[in-house]
Amino acid sequence: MSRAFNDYLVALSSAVVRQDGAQLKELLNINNSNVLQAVSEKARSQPSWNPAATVRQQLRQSLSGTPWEELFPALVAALAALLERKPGEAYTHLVASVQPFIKAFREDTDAWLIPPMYVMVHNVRQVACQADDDAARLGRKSDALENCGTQLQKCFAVAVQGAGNKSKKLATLEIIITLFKVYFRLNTLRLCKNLINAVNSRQFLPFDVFPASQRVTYKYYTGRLAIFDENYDVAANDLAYAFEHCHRSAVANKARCAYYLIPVKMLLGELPEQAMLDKFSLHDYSPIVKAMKEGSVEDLDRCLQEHQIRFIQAGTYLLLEKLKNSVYRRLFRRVALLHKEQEPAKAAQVPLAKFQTALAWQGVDMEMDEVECIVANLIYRKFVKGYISHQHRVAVLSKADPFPALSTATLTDP
Amino acid sequence: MAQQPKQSKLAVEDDEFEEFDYEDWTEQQEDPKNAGLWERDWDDDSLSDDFSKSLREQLSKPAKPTS
Repeated sequence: MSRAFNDYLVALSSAVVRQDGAQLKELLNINNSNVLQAVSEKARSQPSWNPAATVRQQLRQSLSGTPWEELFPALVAALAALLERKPGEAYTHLVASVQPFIKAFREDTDAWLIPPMYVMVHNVRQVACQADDDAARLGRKSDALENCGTQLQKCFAVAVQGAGNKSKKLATLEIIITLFKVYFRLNTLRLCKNLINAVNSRQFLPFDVFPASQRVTYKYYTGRLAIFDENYDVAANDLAYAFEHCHRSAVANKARCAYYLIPVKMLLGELPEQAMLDKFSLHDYSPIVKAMKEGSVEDLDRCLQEHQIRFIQAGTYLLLEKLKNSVYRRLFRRVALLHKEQEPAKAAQVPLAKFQTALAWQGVDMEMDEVECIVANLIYRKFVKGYISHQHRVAVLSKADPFPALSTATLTDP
Repeated sequence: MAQQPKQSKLAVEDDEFEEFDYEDWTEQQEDPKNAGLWERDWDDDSLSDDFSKSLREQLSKPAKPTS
C-alpha cells in the first residue's frame, strides 16, 4: 500500500472533476519530483506491479467512460519506465496518452485544458529526445523525435480548431514553439513554414494575446529561420523583438538572441558596442567588429577561419562571410579618402592600383583584373555608387552619396 | 584597444531556447530600452586610427608597376 501513490491518483481525478487546469498541469508534469517520488515508492513496494493495469483498476469508478481512463494509466506507465531508465519504452506509453488527451481537449468547452496541453507537448518532446539519445548511445536506430513531430501536429490541429470554445486556440503558440524546437533539432526547417503561415493567417488569434514567454520564443525561431532564408530585414526585426522583450533575468536566452541578432545587424550596418559583447560574453565577434570598422580584410578572414566550425554549427558562417563585401567597401572607402588627401583635384577618380596596394598589404594578392572585379561587384551590389573606367583603371565615384548606407546594399544573390 | 578575448568560448553553447521561469511579464521585467548597445555612425571619414595611418604609409610608397 503506497499512500503517496494513492494520493496522486486521487489528486488526478479530483483535478479532472474540478476542471483545475493549473493543478492538472502540475500532476501531468513528468519532471514533478513529488509525482516521481510517489510512483517510485509504489514500484519499490510492489516490484512486480503492472502500472497501467493498477491505475486503470483504481480509477475505474471515478473516471469510467472518459478519455482520462486511458490517459492516466498510459502516463503512469511512462513514468514507471522513465524511473527504470527505459526512455524508449516510456515514449511508447506517453504516445498512448496523446490520443485520449486530444479527445478530452476537443470535448472541452470551458478551455480549462490549455495549461495541461502545454505540459503534454513538453513531456512528449522531452521523452522523445531522451529515447533517441538513449538509442544513439546503444548504437540503435530510433525515430522518436520524428514521431513526436507527428504527435505534436495532431495537438496543433485540435487546438487551432478551437471547437466549442475559441479560447482554446490560445494553446496553439506553445505547441508551435515546441514543434520549432523539434524541427530545428531534426534539421527539417521547411516544416516550420506551414506553422508560420498559420500564425500569419487571419483566422489566427492576434499575436499580442499570447504570453510574453511564447511571443519571445516564437520570434527567436522565426528570426533564425529568416536568416536561413536570407530575409535579413525580417530576421533583424524578429530577433530584435525577442532580444528586447526577453525577461531580463533570462540571461542565457537573451545571449542566444544577441548571438544571432549581432551578425544580422552588422550586415545591415549596425555594430554592437563593446558593452554588448561583454554583457553576453560574445567575444568571438570582437575581431569581426574591429575588422568592419577598420576595413581589415585580413582580420575578418582570420577570424572566420579560426572559428569556422563553430560558426558553421551555429548556422552563422554564411552570414558572417557576407560581411566581406562590407569590409571591402570600408577598405575601399578609406583608400578613396587617402587618395583625396593626396590628389584633391582628382578625388572622385580612385586608381584601382591604390586599392590593389591596400589589398596586398592586407595579405590579399590580386591581379588588376581581380581587383577590378571586386570593385565592380561592390558597385553592382550598391555598396558603392559610381562606375569603372576599365581603360584608365580607375573607379569613378558618384558625386552624390558615393558610399550609401549599408542597409541599402544588395545582400542576397540574384 | 582590442581586448584580449576571454577563453575563446561563446556563451551560447546550445542554441535551443530554454523554458522561461515565468510564463508572462510586462515591460517592467524587461531590460530598459538601451540605445547604447549599437553603434550606427562608425562608417565615417575619420583617418586617425592606427589602421589608417599604416594604410597611408602603404599608399605613399612609390607605386609598383601593375599588371
